[in-house]
Amino acid sequence: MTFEIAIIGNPNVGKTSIFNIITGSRQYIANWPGVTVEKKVGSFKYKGHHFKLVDLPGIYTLSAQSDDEKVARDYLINESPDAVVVVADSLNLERSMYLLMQILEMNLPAVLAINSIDEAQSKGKIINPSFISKTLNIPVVLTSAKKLIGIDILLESIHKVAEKKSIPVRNFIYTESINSFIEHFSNKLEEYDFLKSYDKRWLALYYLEFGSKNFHYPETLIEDINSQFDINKLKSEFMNWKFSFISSIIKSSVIEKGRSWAMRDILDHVMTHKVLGLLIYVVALYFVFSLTFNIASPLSDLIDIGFNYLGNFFNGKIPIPWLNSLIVDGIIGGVGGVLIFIPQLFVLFFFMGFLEESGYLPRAAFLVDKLVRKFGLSGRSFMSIILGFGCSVPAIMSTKTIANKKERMALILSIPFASCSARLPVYIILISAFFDKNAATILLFVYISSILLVLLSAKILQIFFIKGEEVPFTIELPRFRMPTFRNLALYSWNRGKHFLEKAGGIILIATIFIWLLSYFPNNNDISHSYAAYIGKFFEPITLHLGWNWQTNISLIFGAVAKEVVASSYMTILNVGQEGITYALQDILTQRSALALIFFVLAYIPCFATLSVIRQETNSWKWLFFELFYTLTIAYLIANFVYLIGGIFL
Amino acid sequence: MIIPLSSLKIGMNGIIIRLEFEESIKERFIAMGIIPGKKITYVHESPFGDPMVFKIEDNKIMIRKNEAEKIFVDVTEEILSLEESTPGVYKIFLIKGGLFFRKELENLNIVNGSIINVINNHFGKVSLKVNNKTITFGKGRSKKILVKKLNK
Repeated sequence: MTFEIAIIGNPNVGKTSIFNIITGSRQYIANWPGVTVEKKVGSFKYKGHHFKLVDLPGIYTLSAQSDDEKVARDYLINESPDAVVVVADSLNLERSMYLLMQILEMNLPAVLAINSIDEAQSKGKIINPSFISKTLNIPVVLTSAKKLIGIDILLESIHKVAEKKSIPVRNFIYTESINSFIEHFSNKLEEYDFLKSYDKRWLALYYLEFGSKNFHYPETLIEDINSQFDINKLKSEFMNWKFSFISSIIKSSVIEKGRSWAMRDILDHVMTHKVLGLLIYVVALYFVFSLTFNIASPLSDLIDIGFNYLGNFFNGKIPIPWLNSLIVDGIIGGVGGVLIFIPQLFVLFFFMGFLEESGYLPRAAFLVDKLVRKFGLSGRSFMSIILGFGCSVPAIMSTKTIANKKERMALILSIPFASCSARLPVYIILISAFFDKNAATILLFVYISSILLVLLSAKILQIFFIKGEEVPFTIELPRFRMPTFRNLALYSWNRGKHFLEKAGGIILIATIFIWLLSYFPNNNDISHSYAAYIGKFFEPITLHLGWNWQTNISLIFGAVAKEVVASSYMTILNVGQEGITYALQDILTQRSALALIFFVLAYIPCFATLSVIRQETNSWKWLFFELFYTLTIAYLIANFVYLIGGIFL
Repeated sequence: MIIPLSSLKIGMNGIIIRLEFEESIKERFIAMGIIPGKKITYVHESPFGDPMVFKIEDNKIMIRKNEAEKIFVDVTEEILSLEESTPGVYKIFLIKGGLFFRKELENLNIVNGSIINVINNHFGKVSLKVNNKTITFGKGRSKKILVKKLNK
């Protein structure tokens, strides 16, 4: 049989490191149903038993305000794991105890792991686990994920707790009025059949802590309770009881010499300084950006060349023309189109992982938070938007660590408006054909519009389309840590794999679909293909902008990747690099070219981006919303630009 | 004296008295360690003045100004900038600003802990006496010098 173990803790306590040590590479990521919270599951063997380890989100409380908390609470209620490992930070034990108490109130079989014990020791802090263990009646283990201390004892404790089945009774001595509240509440619960399976003491305490909103208490019960008790008074009594209980445990089990802030304060002073701090931020952004897109690009080019070679190798070897084209243009091209993202994703995740694990990201968020707040975003979003100017795929995947789900959703759907590098070739052929004199001005306008679009879109989406909790943006600035190579490698590997599994298929299918449209029904004659028919079908709504069917086809093909718009023009107009300028001047006017530039900026994200949106939002609904939304915005902008262009050109 | 957390000057501390949020948000702050009775210190300023970073026990927590306005602390010693001072005796608490500014003040015998005597404050233009020398600071500079009032 398999034991199911959950691991939970505050953010930044080293929970993930412990998870990685226990499970090694036997882990995968998925989504919790219905929400965008990432679910990490691993497995391990111990003394002949199989264990499944579920990594719950890093949270401070089970209040179920945010999606993270909801996921954790619902899991603990519904799945009743065989053991719950609560990871605490030895330098922050008192705060970690708050979450632990909530877990114990639920009467779950808990194991407390007090992590980073090496750091505590080097600061002269001594923790006596046996006192905590006796008081709370749970196993307590001192661990260090970095120095690999206590991991065996932790496994041993997990094993013991999971095998025991029965949960030791923990009768905390509450105050008299709290006890009588619990008693009355439990008795009342007897009247409701559907509540019988729940732990009665826990439901009573949960009501005290979080009120009636977070759980489906029956109306009649709420009325009864509120008429019998002064809930607010009881609540603060309960809170006070909890704090004094926790601090009495800490007092009896922890000896410390006082805090040493010197090094941390100096580093923080530099990193949050108004000149130095911003300078470091710009340098960090530059590094992540250039490493992701420059270091990875030779590798991407290599993959590109490899697949081109493979295509050429097969080309003509297959006697059936359509099958030949399907394999060469559709499948080989499609697989190449997926794999080309792999180098930059791995590099990005590696360095983003570094910034995250080292503790730099919250400091960076602190610096620029004010700048984007008007648009409903937090400082944490800033870096993802900047990455979007390289490529939307890694930018969207970098939003993973944004805690506020509403903000994250708005950002995922708005990042495609950031003008990625694939759009530049399209601007360039259009600008060089029509605006040779004002090239720089036009390009500047495009990029400024792009930034405005991203920010305004994030705001508009949060006002009209995305529901979600309003949680204050309050984050911790954790201690600086040197990330381990092992954690970073696992981090990038998991996410890279997730991309291939979730997004790879969609990109491949979409590429083959576009191939079908271009090849049939007249054997590779694009001008008489389905794509051409679709292009002609849309002429009535594009002709007033001066876009004929040839432009429309190019835009359709641009869905594969935006730079394809440029190469499609060459194919359809049957010209090369040199002739494209004149050929374009034949079919477009200055005004319609300008409108087209802005349309290309905003219209549907490429398939890779769409499939990452599907992967990250965990829903098809948002993918189709994005398609419709960006097309509408792009069409409106194109018309607007055409109108304005009429005045100036 | 009880004031909102957002009115603390950098380097100043207070004891948390109460949080004026709706229950669920209050609980979240408490879970993060913002607990009544604990000492909290304002330690880092953002380049744009908002958000603020506070030290509490072994943590540094970043809070936006509009939330810090709803957290109330009891401050035993009042710290103000020279710009806000009225005539009287003060002790220098903290000098904000760059190395050169601090060096310049050091030459005038003004360092953290020095005792000064504010003679008058004319809309932020402050005249003060240190070691029997009279010095005048403009508004911009007097904003950068934080002082603590001494009761005779």
